[in-house]
Formats: sequence, structure tokens, C-alpha cells
Amino acid sequence: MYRRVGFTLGATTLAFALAVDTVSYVTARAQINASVEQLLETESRYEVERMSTSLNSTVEAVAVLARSRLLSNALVDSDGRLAYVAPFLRDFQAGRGRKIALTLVDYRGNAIATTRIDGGTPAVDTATAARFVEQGRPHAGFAGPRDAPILVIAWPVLFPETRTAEGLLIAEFDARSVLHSVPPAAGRTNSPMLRVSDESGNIISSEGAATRWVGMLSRSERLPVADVLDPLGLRVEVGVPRFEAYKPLRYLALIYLVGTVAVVLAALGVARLVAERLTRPIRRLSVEAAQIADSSRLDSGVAVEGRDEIAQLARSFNEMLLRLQLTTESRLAALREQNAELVRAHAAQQRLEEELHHAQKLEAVGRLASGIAHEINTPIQYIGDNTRFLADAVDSLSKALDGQRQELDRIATPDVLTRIDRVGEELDLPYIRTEAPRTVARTLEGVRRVATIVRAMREFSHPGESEPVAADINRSLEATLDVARNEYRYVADVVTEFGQLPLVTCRPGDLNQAFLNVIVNAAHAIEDVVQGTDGRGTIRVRTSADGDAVVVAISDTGGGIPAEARGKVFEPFFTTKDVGRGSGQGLAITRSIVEAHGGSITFETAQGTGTTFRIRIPLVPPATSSAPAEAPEEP
Amino acid sequence: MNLTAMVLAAALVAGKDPVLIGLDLEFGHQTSTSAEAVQRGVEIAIAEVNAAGGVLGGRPLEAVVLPNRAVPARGVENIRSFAVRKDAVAVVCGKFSPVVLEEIPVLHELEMPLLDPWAAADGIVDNGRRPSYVFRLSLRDSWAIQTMLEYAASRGLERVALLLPNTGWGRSNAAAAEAYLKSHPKPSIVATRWFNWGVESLVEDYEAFRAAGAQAVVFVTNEGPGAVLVREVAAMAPEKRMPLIAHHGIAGGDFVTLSGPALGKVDLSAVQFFTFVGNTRPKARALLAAVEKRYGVQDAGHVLSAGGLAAAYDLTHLLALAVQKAGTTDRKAVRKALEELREYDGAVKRLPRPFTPDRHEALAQEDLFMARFTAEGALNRITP
Repeated sequence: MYRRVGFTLGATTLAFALAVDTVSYVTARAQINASVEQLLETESRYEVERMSTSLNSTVEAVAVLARSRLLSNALVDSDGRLAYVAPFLRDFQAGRGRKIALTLVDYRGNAIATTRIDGGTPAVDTATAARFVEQGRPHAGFAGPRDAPILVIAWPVLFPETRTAEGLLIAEFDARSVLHSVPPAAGRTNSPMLRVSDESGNIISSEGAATRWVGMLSRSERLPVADVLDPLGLRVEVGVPRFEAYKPLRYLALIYLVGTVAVVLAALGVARLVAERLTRPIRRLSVEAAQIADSSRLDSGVAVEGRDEIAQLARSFNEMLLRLQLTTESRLAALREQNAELVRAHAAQQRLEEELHHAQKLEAVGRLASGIAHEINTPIQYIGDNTRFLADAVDSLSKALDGQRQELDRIATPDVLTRIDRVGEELDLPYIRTEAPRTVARTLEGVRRVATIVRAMREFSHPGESEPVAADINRSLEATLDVARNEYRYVADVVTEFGQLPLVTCRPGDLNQAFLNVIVNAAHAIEDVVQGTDGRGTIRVRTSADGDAVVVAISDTGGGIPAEARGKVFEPFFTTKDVGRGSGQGLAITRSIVEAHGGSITFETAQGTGTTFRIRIPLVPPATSSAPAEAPEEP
Repeated sequence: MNLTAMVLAAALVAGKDPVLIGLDLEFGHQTSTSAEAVQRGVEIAIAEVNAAGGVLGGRPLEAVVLPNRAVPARGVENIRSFAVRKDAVAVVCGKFSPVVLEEIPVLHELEMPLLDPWAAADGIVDNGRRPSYVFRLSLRDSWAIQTMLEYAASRGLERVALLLPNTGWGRSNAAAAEAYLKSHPKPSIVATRWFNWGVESLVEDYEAFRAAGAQAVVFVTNEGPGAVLVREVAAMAPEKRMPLIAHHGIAGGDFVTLSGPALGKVDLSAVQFFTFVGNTRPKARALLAAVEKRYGVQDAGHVLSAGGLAAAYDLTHLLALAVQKAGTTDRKAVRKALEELREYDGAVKRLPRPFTPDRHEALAQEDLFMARFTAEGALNRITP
């Protein structure tokens, strides 16, 4: 580890040294660049001014020459001009003291006079010269070989009498001598290098020691010419060799390099010693921490020695262990609680699933019972009819036997009567005559009972009912009580107090379901109280009209709803009953049905006294009552 | 020829191939009126010839304008371009001797007759070529110099100065003066100065003349430099103003307008060979009437460059006669016919034999006279 620390210290020192070097180098370079740029800007301005002065004075000299009356005169003096034009041009040539060729051409571009010794043709050909005359304005440009460029200035010779150009003075200069004809100012011995290029990039001239323009820090500016001329596209470039400019930088870089190496080597040595010393307690701490980790004993700790950072680290480590231990225990307790909660939730989930399964079975059984009731209805009817026929028949047979006896007593002998009585006794006729009417009567009672149940089940279920119909709520309650009888008959008595009710537009089957749920709940609540006793409770069902609604109040004498459950009784799957006894959906379904009819359900409960559910149902549900108002009028 | 015949003749010449006369004139020169005057003379003559049935069996004469801006090189180019045209029979030149002098070689190379109504350099006619294609109906410098110097002498001006253009024209006059002085002791030439084309001031020259003790200045200029001299002399104190004796050339422009009020302050006279003012010749009167009618000129005093106009008029008629005489547009034949013409009564003068093979000057020394400008610009004859 101490190697890593040493390496880190060494690398940090190296990085720091390099950063310092780099910043210093870049700063120095920027300063040199700024100085060079300033120098070049000053020199560029100076050289442009110098060359512009030189060039424009040359242009002006040509212009003055072209305006000479002698030249315009020469254009009309064909037989005399030979005597004076060429000498005149040569005088000018000599006065300029540099390489120059002057040629005067007529309007067709044909030479009239020239200072060329060799008689060569000027740089401007005949056709071009004629065009220049026609244009009547001066032109300038460069010609000749690249190593000896020629500045050509063609200036029109004007006729005052015609105010037109009738000739052209073509002046050809050694471009380099023109550009450098103005000497540098005295004392400028250390000027940057200089060169002039045309618009095509051809080098017109160069000054200074540089033979090749490479590796230069340079600045380029356009060289302005007299306004009368088209731009020549000349650029003046001044430059300083990068090698020279950056010479101080190279020394600086060398110093930085040596210094950096020395600093890094020293830093590495120091770093090794310091790292060894620094990392010793850390390594000990590391070993102890590893031992604790291996033993998983969070209640132990490492030794704390001294007051330095390492001791602080050891204390922090021990504190961390302590907190870790506490946290671990706390987390374990929470995990246990969560696990228990999960077990409970799982059990609740299982119960819910079982109740749902039970509810589904009940629904299936209900549908089956409804179907069976429908099938039983017809046989029960003719069983009842036949039984009533048998009762009548038994009664008639008894009456016939009595009549026959009276006749026999009157006409038969005692012996005959005795035999007849014997036969009657053998057949247990007296018993039959006594028991048969009773049996038939009980049978009829049983049949009536079955018919009542079947009718109640049918009325309760109202199969195929999709649209609201006008229904008698009292009758619905009676049917529901019949259906629910098995739930309450062993634990409670039912007391009905039905008021006079108008017909209610509703889905009776749905409402019956709602009433059934409340009645069954009431029965269960009472059962919870009377179970294991001889006591019975009372279920009281009251109905009354209340304006445009009817109110059904179902009370029980059960134990009441616990306070903590009162806010949840209408929630789906909320129940306090055992598994299989309630799905937790009864009151939720009831509220859903009642609200679907535009009604409301409330309850009042008192612990140990019982509960009253109050169901308010409008005579006409909102959708139905508003329908006529919203229906479009017939046209 | 009555009017009906003229109309009939004009109708007959219409539609036939024209015979071309080139007008190689100084159009484009800002102050010159001579080119327009020569053109007018030619046009009037052509109109008369064509009205009379034209030439060569009814072919019309037609003028082709060839502006040269007084530039010799342009004149040469004009000659070359005109010579290649079909039935180009001759060229009429303007007043600038340097232009004509430079054209001499090409005229003879192309065998193109040149009719000179103005340019005065002796060398134009004395070109040393034979046959010569140059025919002049105007004054020549040697005559003009002689007339001017004689006039100076007649006024008792014994010391005169010469102011000359630095051209062939100036050298022609210098030679003429030198020749004259060889046989005439008076007046003496006390100073000679040369000026260049487009000169803008002649004060320095004038002062040099005064310094040399000159009593008069004989100057050979056209209207431009002449007007410069007049304005500058007029600006001097009266005692410094010398008589100015001018060559014919100052009549080549609107000299009166160019000089302005200065003209009234100087003693200026000029040599001429023709003027409409006071001219009683019937042909001259008829020509003046034609000028007035055709160009709306007010009167004789307002005809600018009248000598050139009349000379061009006469030369055109002479050319028509020569073509007719030659019976062809062949220029050699026409040139020859010009030398053989007889008896022509022109606007300038009656010419019993206009030209001969040895004489291509239609006029003579005695046809020259001195004249002065009136304030309206008319040239009044002041010598017989």
C-alpha cells in the first residue's frame, strides 16, 4: 500500500509540476505571441505605408507624364515626334533612376515612341492597349517572369480638344525596385522579413534574410493603390521566423524540464519515506478490521492509540461498528415484523380467496336453487291440487262410510255388523279415518310451505330483469325474509311493521339482494350474541313512505358494530366474520345497489344493543325520473 | 435646269449604286466647326449633282462620314476602311494638316484621291509623289505666311514674332517664313516659339516675344489656342497688347464665341481666301442661299468656317465632273481626270484649269486676303 501512496504522492507532485510548467509555458508563449503580433502590426503598418507611398508616387509620376502636353502633341505630330518624344521619355526614365521602360502608343495600340533599347514590344499587347485607350482609364498589373516581375502602369493620354483618350503611355517598372524604392527609416536595422504577393499568391518581392518563407509568424495586409486604379490585389506580409521568436521559450522549456525531473525524483524519495511512516498504523488498522470482518463480531473493535488521524480513524471505525451493530439489530427486528405482517397478509389473502371461492359457490348454488324452484313449482302445484283432492276424497269416504253404517245398522243383522266391524278392525279403519284427514292436512301444509318457498325464491331472484319495473317493496321484503328464514329462524324472531307504500320503480331482484344481505347480517349479529344460550333476538323490519322515497329500516338486537370497524363496513372484503360465514362483500354490494337506485344507506349502532340499517330508495331512480324531461319533444 | 427636270433627274438617280465620297473630318473635336462646314459644302454640292442626274449615267453621289477627332492615326484608319468600299472614289479632308500629312503615304498606297478644302501645310501638296493623289482648293502655308508678313510690313510692323504649333503644320509655316525672309528683308522674325497640342496658356511665349522686342505676333493656330492667346493678351495692360496676325486656322471654329469680349480688346486680323461677306460672285451668292435655306443660317456673317464650306462645295463639283469625265469609279482614272478638268466656275473663284499634272493647287497666292472678325463673327475683308 505504501507503494501506492508513494506512487500517488509522486504522480501528484509530477502533475503539479507539469501543471505549473504548462501554465508558465503557455503564459510565456502567449506573451511572446502578443509581443510578436504587436511588432508585426506596427511593422506591417509601416511597410504598407512605405510601399504604398512608393507605389503611389510611381503611379502619380506616370500620370503626370501621361498628362504632358508633349505626349498629346506627339499623337498628332507624326513627322516631328521622333525628334522629341523618345528623348523626353528617356529624360523621365533617367530621372526615376531605376529600371523602367516607357512606350507611347496610339489609339490602336501601335507604338509611337519607346525607350526600349532592344525595340521589344511592351508588356501590354496592341489589342489590350487599344482597349485601354477606348476605356479611357488607367490600368495597372504585373507581368514578366516570377523571378523578375514587372509592374505595368498604362495611363491614357487625353486630347483636351476631343476630351477623349487617343493614346496610351505604358510604363514598365521593375516591380521590386518600385515597391522598395522608399528606403527604410534610419535606425530600423532589425526589421522583420517582408514580402509582397499578388492576388494569385505569386511572390512579387521579398526583403530580409529569409530565403524560404516557412515557419514564420506573420501578418498580411492589403496594399492600397491610387483610387483611379483597379485594386492590384497586392498583399504585404511581414514575418518573424518562429524559430527566432520562440528562442526564449526553448530556454524556458529546458529549465522547466530539468526542474521538473529533479522535483519529481525528490518527491518520490520523500513520498516513499512518508508513505512508509503514514501507512504503518493504517496497515495495522487494516489487519484488525480484516480480523473483525472474518469473525463477524460487530461488538468487538480495533485498538485506539494516540490522537492523530489514524486514531481518529480507529475511533470512527469502532463507532461505525457500534452503529452497524445497532442498525443491524434494528433492521432484523423490522424484518421480523415485516415477515409477520407478510404472514398475516398471506393468511388474509388466503381467507379472501376462500371467501371468494365460497361466494362463487353460493352464487352457483343460488342460481341452482332458483332453477330448482322454477322446476319444483309446477309439480308442487299439482301435488297440492291432488292432495286437496285426496283430503276431499277422504272426507267424502268417511262421510260415505258413516252413511253406509247407518244403513247397515238399520237393515243388517248383528252378525253381519259384527263381521263388518271385524273387517274394519282388521283393516285399522277407525285409525285410518282418524289419521287420514290429519295426514292429508299436514301434507297440504307441507305442500303450501314448499310453494311459499318456491314463490319466494322466484320473486327474490327475478330472473331476466334488466329494466326497472314498478315493484311493491313490502312484498319484496316478505319474499326476502322467506328466503332468509333459514338464517334467522333458530336465533331470532322477525317483526315486520310495513307501512303503506307506493310502488317503487326499481330492479326488485337487486333490491332483494340488498335487503337479504342486511337481514343475513342481522341474523349473524344476533347469532353471535345468543349462541350457546336459550335466548332469541329480534329482527325488526319497518317500512315507511317519506316524500318521494320509501325508507326501509332493518334493526337487530345483536352486539353492535365495533367502533374500529364502523368506518369500513361498506368496504369490499371487509368482514369480522369467520371464514365461510361472510365474504366481506355483502354491505359493499348493498350500498352499490342502493346507490345505483339513487338511494342511500346509513346505519346506527350501539355496542351491546344492536344495529339499525336505514335504506332510502327514491320512488323513481334519477335516470328514470329525469328521462322524460330530457326526452326530445315529438314534432 | 428647271425644277421639273431636277425632280425627274433626282428620281432617276434614286435606287442606283451610289458613288461614294469619304468625309475624313475632325468630328469629335470639341471646338471645331470646320468639319461641319466641309460636310455642308459637300452635301449641297452632292444634292446639286444628284439633282442634275448624278454621275456615270445617273448614279448618285453619296457622302460617307469618317470622323477622325483630329487624330492622325484615326485618319489613316479611316482611309483604309473607306478604300475597300465599292465605288469609293475620293476622300475630302478637314483642316488638320498633321492628319493629312500622315495620310499621304496610305492615300498613294491605296490610290485614293484626296480633296483638300482646308489643311494648309505645304507638304500636303508638295508631297514629292508623282502622280500625286492630293488636290487642294485652299490656301497653303507659304502663301499664308507671305500674306501675313506682307500685311505686317504694310502696317510698319518690322519686328514680328512667330508662334507655331509643334506639328508638321507649324514646321511647314516655319519653313515658309524662312523661305520668305530669304528674299524679303522686312519684317524680321525676332522670336519663334512652339506650343504643344492642347496648350492651356501662351502667356510665357507672349512675354518672351515682348522681351525680344516684337511689335506683332504672327501666330499659326486653330481656334482653340488662338482664343487662348486672345484672352490672355486682352487681359494684359493695353500697352502690352501687340497686333495679332493670325493664320487661316482660327476660322476653323467659333472663334468669336471662344474669345468672348476679349476679341474686342485686341488688334486681330487673319488671312483668308474666301468669305461670303460682301461676296458678289453669283456662285457664291447661290451657295450662300443654299446654306441659308438648307441649314437655316441667318446670313453671310453667320456662316462659320465659310472658306472650308465653299472649297468643299467646289471640290465636290470638280470630283463629280472628274468622275463623269473618267466615265468610271476607278480612282486612278478619276485622279487623272481631275488633272484634266477645264473651266469650272466655282463659289470660291472661276477656275479655267483647276488642276494640271504639275499643279494640284487650285488657288494661288493672289487669292488670299486679310480679314477681321466683326463682333457678330463675320469675317470682313480688310485687304484687296
